[in-house]
Amino acid sequence: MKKFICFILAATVLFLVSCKNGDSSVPDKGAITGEIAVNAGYVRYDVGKKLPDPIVGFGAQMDTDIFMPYNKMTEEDEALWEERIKDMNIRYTRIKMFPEFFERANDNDDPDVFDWDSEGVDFDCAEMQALYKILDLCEKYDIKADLSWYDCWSNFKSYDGTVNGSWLAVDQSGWAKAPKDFYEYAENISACLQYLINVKKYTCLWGFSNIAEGFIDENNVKSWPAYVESCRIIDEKLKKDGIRDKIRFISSTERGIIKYFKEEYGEIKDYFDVVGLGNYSWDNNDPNEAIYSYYADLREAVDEFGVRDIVISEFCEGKHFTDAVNKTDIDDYTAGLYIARFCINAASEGVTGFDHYILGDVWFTDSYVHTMGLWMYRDSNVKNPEYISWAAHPEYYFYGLICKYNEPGSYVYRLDQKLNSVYDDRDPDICCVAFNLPDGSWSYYLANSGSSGKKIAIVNALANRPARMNCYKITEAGIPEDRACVLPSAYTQIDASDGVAYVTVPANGFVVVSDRK
Amino acid sequence: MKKLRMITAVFAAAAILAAMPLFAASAEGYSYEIAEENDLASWRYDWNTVEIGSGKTGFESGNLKMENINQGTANYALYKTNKFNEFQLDFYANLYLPSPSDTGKDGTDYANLYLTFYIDFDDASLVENAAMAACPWTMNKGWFSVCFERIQGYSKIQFLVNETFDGHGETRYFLDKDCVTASTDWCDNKYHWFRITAQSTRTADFATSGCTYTVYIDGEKEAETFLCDRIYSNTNLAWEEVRFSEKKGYFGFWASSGYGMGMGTAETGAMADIKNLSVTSFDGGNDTPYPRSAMPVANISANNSFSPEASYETGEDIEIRLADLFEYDGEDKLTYTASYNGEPIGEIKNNYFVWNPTEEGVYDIDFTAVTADDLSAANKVRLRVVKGAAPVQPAESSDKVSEKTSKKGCGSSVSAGFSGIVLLAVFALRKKRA
Repeated sequence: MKKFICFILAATVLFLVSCKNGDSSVPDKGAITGEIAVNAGYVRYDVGKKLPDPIVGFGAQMDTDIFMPYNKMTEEDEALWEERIKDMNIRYTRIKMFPEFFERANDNDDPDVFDWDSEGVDFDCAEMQALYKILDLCEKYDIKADLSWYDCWSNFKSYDGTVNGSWLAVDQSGWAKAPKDFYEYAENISACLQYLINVKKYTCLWGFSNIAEGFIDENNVKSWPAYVESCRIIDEKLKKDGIRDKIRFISSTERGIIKYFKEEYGEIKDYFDVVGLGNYSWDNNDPNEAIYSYYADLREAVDEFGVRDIVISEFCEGKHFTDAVNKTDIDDYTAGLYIARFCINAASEGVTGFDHYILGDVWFTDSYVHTMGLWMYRDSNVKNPEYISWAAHPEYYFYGLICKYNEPGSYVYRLDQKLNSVYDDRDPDICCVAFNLPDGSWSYYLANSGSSGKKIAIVNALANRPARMNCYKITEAGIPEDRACVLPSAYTQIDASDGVAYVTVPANGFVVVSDRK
Repeated sequence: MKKLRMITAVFAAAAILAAMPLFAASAEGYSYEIAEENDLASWRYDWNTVEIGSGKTGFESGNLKMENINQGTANYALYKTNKFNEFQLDFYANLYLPSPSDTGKDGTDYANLYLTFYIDFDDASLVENAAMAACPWTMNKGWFSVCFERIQGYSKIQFLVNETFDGHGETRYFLDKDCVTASTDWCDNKYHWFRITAQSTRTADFATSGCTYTVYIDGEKEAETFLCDRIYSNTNLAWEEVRFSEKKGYFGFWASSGYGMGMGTAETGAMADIKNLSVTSFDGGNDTPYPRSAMPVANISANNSFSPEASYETGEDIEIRLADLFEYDGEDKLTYTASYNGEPIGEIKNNYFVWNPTEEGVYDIDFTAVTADDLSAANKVRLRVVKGAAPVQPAESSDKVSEKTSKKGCGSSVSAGFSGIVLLAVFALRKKRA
């Protein structure tokens, strides 16, 4: 009997040990303490410093225009957009908001008491229904939303035709203009957030923002003091109404230059929880160093204020605008490669949230097509019969992989190139970063802006290192000729269980290596 | 033999017609001739064009054509070679721009073609997207426009002053007395001759100094207006000296309509097909039309400095950007081929050579590039392929990969564990028997 018990115990131990060694999903392999050798011909990058702040999310801007009747979305169109949001794993978004959407006329003259039953207040109008549709998607797919007041819509025309103009804007010209009464503006924001959070019970509202762009004084000059004052009043009002601690206040800045950023943020630091700023500074011809050194400086500046999250509230490749909503590079492959390089360099230096501007091309403000999306408008096949309807811009393929193989709560690890001597320098063509996802899986992002392929060995000696990993790549040759919005399947698998992931990054290519399930 | 003679005669007639230096077209009995070397509508090298959205502006049909005109698109074309003050502009065109109410489609009820003049660039050929200035408020450059607008069942001709000289192109106003319904319906899906003339009068008195603009269709005078050099600016709310009699600038077309997004020419029919366009500037006593600009001489040759990577590995995709193999200074789309020992190899995708080699070796690949005009060049590139790591079967999808990985990892361990149990059992049984 003793022998039999021994036999059973031994067998069980053997079974468990063998099962542990073979299963890539079991994380506890033990850290590798000895020197890890790398095959000749590969440039070594070590998984290095873990950044302290987890990722808030990668995503793209979704405006109410998507679901306004004038955009004429069919059920099939809506299903297609939703499928893409799901497939890409969009987890962060900014939503354009205006006071006039629900407060068509001033509720009353007392900004301390909001009259919910006022004739001027309509939470059921087309504009709000469109907002609810976006927020419903955010709830369904766990997308963190930044509801972003673009100041006032000075020449607002309600979809039902009952309102023409803004009761709150300083004047009726242009479109995004400062409010003429900051207290009424703050009341509007507070009422809306109370309604969405307390009445509609939306939990996806991660933050809200008040955009600085429209604060223009009587001399047609942007007024930073006016913006600061409006933020103070908003912060105060939300605290008074008991809603401030339920949502983050995301900042907006006018100037990206670090020196001015510090001056500006110093004036508003008491009101905000998150640093938010847009970026259109570079294009694919700019070096990685320009991006990562800027964000290193920004991180340092933000640290001084004790703020953790930095969100890029809007971005895409800059420098090629024909106007506010059109770019000459939108169908350039390199605009997509830039997106990958931007995200890698910014994340490596402590940016935690990413909002690509915008998700998909849309009929915007019932006036024109906004063509800065990840995919084209439904008529993409009218001009190019070889394209599908709602065909992809090249950026889609890059940003799709970035979002898909990431997750809110992921921790960023730098990938440090091993230099052989003090005279060596980082390869200027390569930028890369690692993410450790909440489920324990790993994603490595590598972009190569050089004209030849690069053989790279990523060394991860940590105990929870990945084993078998899938490789996904984007190259210009691989962009589907019909621009179908389909992200590439893995082209190969690699075994990284011994601590090294070997990968070749093609010239002007982007590779994601991940064991994410 | 009789048949052969007939064929020969037909070919001879065709050859004569083809060799004729003048274009002669007619509309309702009216005809006009321009020499081929003055026909700018068939000469893309004189134009800057911009297409927004699915808008289509190009010369593929042999002349300037604008299609897919709706609210979400924009089509622009700007004659970038010369700028002028006094002029005569002729073109033979089918301006089929029915408005939504004409076709029973959804949309705001208008469709139009703007011709904008005195577009104020120093040198339009150096300006990116210069054609967009044909819309008065896009770049605030074009001082004056003639608009052919189809609206509520009428084919209108409108003159507009655009206050671009004050930086407010959107503050434009119609010269109402001259906003006429054309006696010739230019929107009948037929070709017509259009002539627009500008003749300046220069006096010391602003009230009489200015420019007279006249529009003719098929030889008939349809509309005329006089713009004096002193006009009232709605932007500045003041009288201003605006020297239409002296201003030199470029001219361009801009087509737009109120059709809903996505409604292309195939659905609405709306398009502008412009042929036989000539411009005669009368500045400095000139009276001859502008000739076409010289055709850019395109050269194509092998780029012998192209250097492939030192080696490639079997099982890995080789991707070579074919534009890197050739030096070409033209604007045509190139057609590429790749062959090895006379046999096609790999594939051409998005203007890349893509090949996944399975055998080690040295491969001299022959590449060719051919232009639309049959200019061609060849380049031989030596690719060295070495043995790569054994390729792993690519997964069909990430989910399947994960599933497969999971099963494989656990499956192999289970079998090892099971083998161990069997061995131990055999060992225990043997011991017992002994």
